[in-house]
Amino acid sequence: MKATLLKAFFIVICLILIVVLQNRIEAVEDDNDTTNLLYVPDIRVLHGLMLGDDAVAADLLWLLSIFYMASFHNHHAHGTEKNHIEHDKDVGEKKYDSAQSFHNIDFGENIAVKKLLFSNEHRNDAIHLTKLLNMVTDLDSTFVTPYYEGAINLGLEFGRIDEAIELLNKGIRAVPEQWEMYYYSGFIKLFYLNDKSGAADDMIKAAIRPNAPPNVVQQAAAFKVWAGTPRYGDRIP
Amino acid sequence: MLHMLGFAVAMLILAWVVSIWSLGEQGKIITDLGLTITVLIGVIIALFAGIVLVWNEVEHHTILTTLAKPIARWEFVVGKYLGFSTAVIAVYYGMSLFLIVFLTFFNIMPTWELVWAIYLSSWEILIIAAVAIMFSAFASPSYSAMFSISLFIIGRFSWDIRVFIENNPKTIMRPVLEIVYTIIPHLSYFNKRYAATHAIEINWEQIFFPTLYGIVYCGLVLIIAVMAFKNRDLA
Repeated sequence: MKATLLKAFFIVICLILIVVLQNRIEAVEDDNDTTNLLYVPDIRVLHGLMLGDDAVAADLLWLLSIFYMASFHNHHAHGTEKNHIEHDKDVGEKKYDSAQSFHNIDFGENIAVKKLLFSNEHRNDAIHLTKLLNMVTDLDSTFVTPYYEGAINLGLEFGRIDEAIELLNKGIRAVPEQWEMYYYSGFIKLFYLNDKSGAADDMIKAAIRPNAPPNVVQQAAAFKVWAGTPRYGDRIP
Repeated sequence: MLHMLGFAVAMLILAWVVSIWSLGEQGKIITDLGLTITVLIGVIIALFAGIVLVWNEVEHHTILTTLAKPIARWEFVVGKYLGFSTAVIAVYYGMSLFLIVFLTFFNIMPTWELVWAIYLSSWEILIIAAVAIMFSAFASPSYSAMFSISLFIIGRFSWDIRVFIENNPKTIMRPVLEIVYTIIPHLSYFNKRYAATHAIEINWEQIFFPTLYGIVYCGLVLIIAVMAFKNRDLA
């Protein structure tokens, strides 16, 4: 009885020590340390590690991407919520001629947002995320969500418009029957590149996909009118 | 085996928990992980139970009691395989049934592609069970485990060997690779899990020929097992 109690006591002590040490270690490390993404193996290695089940590797990397996007958002939004709201307002109101012109936006007093968007750390984060999303879509090319959710995040959160459009184009090549890729490509072209015509064309393409919801057709029509070519009816069945 | 079944159920629940953060791809992730987990657990049972099946009987001399009856050695090996594979397959289909019920619970209706993917994956388990019993007939469990696991891993990458040979037609390794490619179990033929996840149609040829291949391959492995066991000293 005494021996059992002693063992139980040691187990409890060990568990407490483990918890204390975990907290200590986590406090020492950077809470947004993204360097672990540098060590995500090559897709050929992942193919080997998953014994040929590439889709499972894609799923796990997609979950990692989501955690990465969320932790990035939480980390950078912390204390700059106001700036984020104003940044979103800027993005909504201003139209940018090209991805480069996005870098020349007059942020006014929102220096924090500009620093956030164009710092080295931010650029590295975007590079890691782009790499991760490309790996997911290489491993499972018909996995639709990473294309458009990834592109939205690359555009909105990271300001990487070119990479976002490239990812959507990759999705269009892989699964051309999906409407989402054209749809979000249209939105990104309109809001970030001020390319009304290109955006309207993409919207039309989204609208004529077999599984496109009815409101996409309405939005495509609105985009076409906005782009100055109201004769959209000939392209929408 | 029941422990493994419990482990599989726990893993499926874990897959569901993980899939909550998948931004609307819950069905895909549960299906992907669920199919992979069930097959891997089936293979693990087949491997680690199969490699000691015949060896244990010989080592503990219990086989002598069995063979004292009018039972031939080949009947013993084939009987062991049939009994063992039936048990493993029952566990595998039990796990798969749980997966289907689990998916239905999340409003993901089972498709024919899912059913065929589950069926074809069962051949992967049957082949590995046969391979494990074959090694068990003449080697110790540690060697049997090493050989069987190696064959399982190589079998999973059989398609990659083909691609390597086609991309490097002048390699001096070509004759060796061709032989390896011919004799290894082509487990990638039975992997239609991708089709199940993305609802890609599986035609009858993709079911019939791998089934035939599975039957022939299991037969071949069992013949080798019987031949090896026939001359084994049981004393």
